[in-house]
Amino acid sequence: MSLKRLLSRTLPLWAMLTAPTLAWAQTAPETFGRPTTVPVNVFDGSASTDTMFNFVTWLTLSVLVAVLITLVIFAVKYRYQPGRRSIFIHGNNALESVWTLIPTIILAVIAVLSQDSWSQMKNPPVNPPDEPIRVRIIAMQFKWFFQYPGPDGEFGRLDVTRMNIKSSDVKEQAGLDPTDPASADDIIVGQLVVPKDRTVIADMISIDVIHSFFLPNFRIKQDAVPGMTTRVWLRSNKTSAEVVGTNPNQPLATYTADGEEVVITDAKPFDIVCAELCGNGHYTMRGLLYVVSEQQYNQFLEIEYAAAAAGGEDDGYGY
Amino acid sequence: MSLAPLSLHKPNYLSVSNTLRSWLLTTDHKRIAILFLISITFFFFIGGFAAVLMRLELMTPHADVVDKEAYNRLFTIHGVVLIFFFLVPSIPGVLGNFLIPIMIGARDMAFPRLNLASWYLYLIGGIIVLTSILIGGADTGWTFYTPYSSVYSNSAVFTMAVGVFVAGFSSILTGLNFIVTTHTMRAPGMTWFRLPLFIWSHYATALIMILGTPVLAIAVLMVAVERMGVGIFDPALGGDPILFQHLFWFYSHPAVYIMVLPAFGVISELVTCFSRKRIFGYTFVAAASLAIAVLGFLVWGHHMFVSGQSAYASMVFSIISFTIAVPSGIKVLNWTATIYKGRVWLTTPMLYAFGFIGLFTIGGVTGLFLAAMAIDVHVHDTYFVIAHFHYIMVGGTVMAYLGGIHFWWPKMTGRMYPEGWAVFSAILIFVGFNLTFFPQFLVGYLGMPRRYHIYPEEYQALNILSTAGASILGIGYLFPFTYLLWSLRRGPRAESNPWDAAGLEWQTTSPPPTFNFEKTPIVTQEAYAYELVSQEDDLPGRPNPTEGEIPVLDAPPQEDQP
Repeated sequence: MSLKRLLSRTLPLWAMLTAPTLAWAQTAPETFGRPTTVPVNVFDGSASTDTMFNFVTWLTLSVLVAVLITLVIFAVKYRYQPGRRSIFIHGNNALESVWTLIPTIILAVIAVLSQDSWSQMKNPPVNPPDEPIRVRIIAMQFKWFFQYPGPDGEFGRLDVTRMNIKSSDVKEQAGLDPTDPASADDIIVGQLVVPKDRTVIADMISIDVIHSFFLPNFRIKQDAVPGMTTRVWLRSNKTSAEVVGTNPNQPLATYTADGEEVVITDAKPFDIVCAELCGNGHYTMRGLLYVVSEQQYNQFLEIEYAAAAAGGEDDGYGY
Repeated sequence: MSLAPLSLHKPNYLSVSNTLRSWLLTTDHKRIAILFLISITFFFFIGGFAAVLMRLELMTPHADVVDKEAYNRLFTIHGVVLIFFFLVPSIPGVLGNFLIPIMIGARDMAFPRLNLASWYLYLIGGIIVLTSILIGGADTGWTFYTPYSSVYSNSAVFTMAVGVFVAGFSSILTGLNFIVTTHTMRAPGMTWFRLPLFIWSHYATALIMILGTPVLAIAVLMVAVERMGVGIFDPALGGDPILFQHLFWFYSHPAVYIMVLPAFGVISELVTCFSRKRIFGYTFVAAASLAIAVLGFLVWGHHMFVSGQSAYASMVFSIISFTIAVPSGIKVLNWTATIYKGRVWLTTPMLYAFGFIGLFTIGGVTGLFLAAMAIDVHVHDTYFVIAHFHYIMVGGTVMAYLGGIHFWWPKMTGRMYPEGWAVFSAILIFVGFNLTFFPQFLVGYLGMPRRYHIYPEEYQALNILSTAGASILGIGYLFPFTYLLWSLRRGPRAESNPWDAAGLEWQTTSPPPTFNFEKTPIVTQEAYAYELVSQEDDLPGRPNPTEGEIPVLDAPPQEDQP
């Protein structure tokens, strides 16, 4: 059966199949009109990832197109025709060597390039101009907490046996050991706040199952594994307000020891996504990453540290 | 006196006996293949049904068809059933079982009773998994990552793990049979380098089945044991959760090649037959299968770039993962070269073969993104990965399986399928498949994680495209199911060799007698000697093969065993 005949014969069926889709598209124009764009990459450490992605895309696309075009040409040119016979070819060792060697070389190039972008993503700069900020990421079903070490620069010990997920105090939820002197000035908060253009080194632990810390805007993903510490580093060259905009109705606010609300910024945060299935609430495990100015960051920490020093219960979102 | 050929009156493997007992206690490899065909079709529709519900749920960003518990169970059922109970046994269990003895000129498998046992183990495993679905299903995904699966999940993980464990032994026995059969049962003159590539790729598959499956069995057994309170992977009891991932992927990455190597074998048969040509570079294609089987065991760590394994281990795994693209690429180029100056006869199986080459190539080149560590970090556990492995496993394996089923249907059943409907549904499946899975590459790169039943609204357009594609794909799969059943009674009777193909399996009747050949064939030719096959000009339409015209084998009546 010729393709033309086939298509014309089956036209009603194609219409039947595509009609619901088109109808849906008509009823939901706002969905189709919504811009779908690649998340802006704000992390210099993964800039080469995007370059690599584009390079591999163009490379593989050209290979793919070449193969598909060749197949189509062969299928048409060598189609069955009365009187024409197939030509008997055993193979060609020279040709086989060529098309083994060339892909091998191309793949070797990609492999070497990818080592480079991998090391940029994994290793923080050796001699950063400023002292890196250290944070500890605590993952648990189904939320993210972030521990800042306080003025002493030492993280308080986390003790699984002290964990009490039902507590209203975030330090008890995470099992921060109050007998450890380093714990006294620590804060644990429910959103990650870091300044723009500063190196952040984050050690990551999980309290229960495996979670995965995914920042689409940074091209970073790292599992948080119970029983071990994993590490990511990041540095944003833009504030989150510059990339995702602001929302004055839902600002990032914190509370002083006296219970006064202080708005740090009205920026919207970057998404932190849990990318490893961790249970029924996996899909709710969204975290917030605010990249703010250096002053806003310092203001945030000062208020939080002061409130922590004054004591009291902390739900992780301000005292 | 009848003028009909004598062979029509001889019983074939189907007509020799028709009692239930004769089917359930059969040791005939062809009947076991039919048993596999029926049971994997059943599981295909169970897993497919789960996919339909998932795609419906994903049509909107909200939870409206199923809730979170149900959704997590659906993707677990979809993965476990379609991987362990459809894809792994699909081509080996049906086409491999049916064809391997015939293609090498043997009467049966080396161990016919083990062969039957392998079907029963598959069935028992399948029943256990169905039970686990009925008592609530597991919600861990098919990957069973610990410690969620072994300690935290409140679902039927134990039962499902046991089901997978039991089915694994089916796979091991099948592999064992393939290897021993290929070594010991070849007909006189069937040297190793005269073997069809279908045999080579099944031999490579069988190696993986035997070496890899026990590791999976150990891994899921340990999950089951840990659910009973013994500490293995739980760090609270001194265990290591990542150890499970190493064990799991040590099998489950090679398992991808268990699924796709047999597909390579099928495609080599289809491309040669319908180009009327010998395969281009036989030894390279055969060696590529073995290279893939070996290298396949050395790349599992590329599933774990973000898991917390050593950054240096990741670098080594990345490099080895790139090397495995070379033998896969060799195959695609050799098939393309086979078509060159051939005489392309565009039947349904050949359409599926073209579909396979295109889709497998897309699946293969997108694998390069995942082998490059930094890119993988971004797209890991997003829909990009989902799209990639569906292009390999559905676009590759299922296309080849359907192509093979159509190609050998006349041999298996003695009936022809309706070509018009078959061409139509092949096109439908190709279009539906691409519409389903191509948008997933895009939505994955945008950052949509897998295993989410709700998602930000900006991903909806691509998800609607994908669901629309899935509806076309689903309908596409129902067509072959229907017309193939129809053809069992109504299809035109098939000749012994309706495609004028060169393989040994076409030298016996359709369907073959119980012991495959009237007389043990003696092979005097390499595989794919299409230059010796008739190239009459009556090709499209069905050629009339003339018995004994093909000098692939020569069976002198006097020299045969009594």
